[in-house]
Amino acid sequence: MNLSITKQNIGDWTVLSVSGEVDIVTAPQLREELHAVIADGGTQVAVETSDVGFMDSTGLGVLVGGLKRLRQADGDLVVVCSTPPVRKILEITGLMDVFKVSESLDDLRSST
Amino acid sequence: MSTPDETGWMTLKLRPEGTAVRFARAFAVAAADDAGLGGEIVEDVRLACSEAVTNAVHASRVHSVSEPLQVRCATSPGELTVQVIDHGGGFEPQPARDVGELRIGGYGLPVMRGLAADMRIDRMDDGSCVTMVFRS
Repeated sequence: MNLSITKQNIGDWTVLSVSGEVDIVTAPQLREELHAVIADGGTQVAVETSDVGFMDSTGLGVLVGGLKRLRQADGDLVVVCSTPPVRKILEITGLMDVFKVSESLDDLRSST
Repeated sequence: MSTPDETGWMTLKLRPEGTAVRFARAFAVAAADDAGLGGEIVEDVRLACSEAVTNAVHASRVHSVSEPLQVRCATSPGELTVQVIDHGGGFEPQPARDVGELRIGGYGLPVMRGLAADMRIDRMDDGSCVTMVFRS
């Protein structure tokens, strides 16, 4: 039922790796984790979604909220996704061009 | 799988709380399989249904309504109709907005419109009925 969210650092990036289904039930959990990272001073945040089997616009709203907060702090949020569920909703909402979207964590490693 | 009633609808009644989205998704996906819709369209059904039920749950919360939501599915070969009926007071659909704008909410209706072959929202006395049709 709950999401599994693990945190790691890759260079300047704080990476939240999310596993599970992100919807109205679990989105608050992702929001809390994301806000906690930002409250701790994280400005370069990546949300890795390769193990997200489903995400709807409630989850998307959490990512947008995180991006807004990070931009206010001169930071940024990258969505790492290579799988259809997250890519699909980013594409259909036009947000693919708003977020920085990365295929894999290797892209982050090579950028640091 | 529910058995269709005499009108051809299979109906799931759910308490208007968050977990309703999960039961509804599983129900609509099973109906999509039953209608013989292909893999990508089944995923469209899953997402659009989640959006519709999320809106219904929000509407019920805003109006402090505990009356169950109804999710109804009707299938024919290559076609699925999903209805989500709530008693959350009804709402006026917002005019379409530009996609890509940075806002936290309001993506549900554009997503449903983008995924369903046909989509309609009917306002009822005490709520609304969203109808979405998916075709293979």
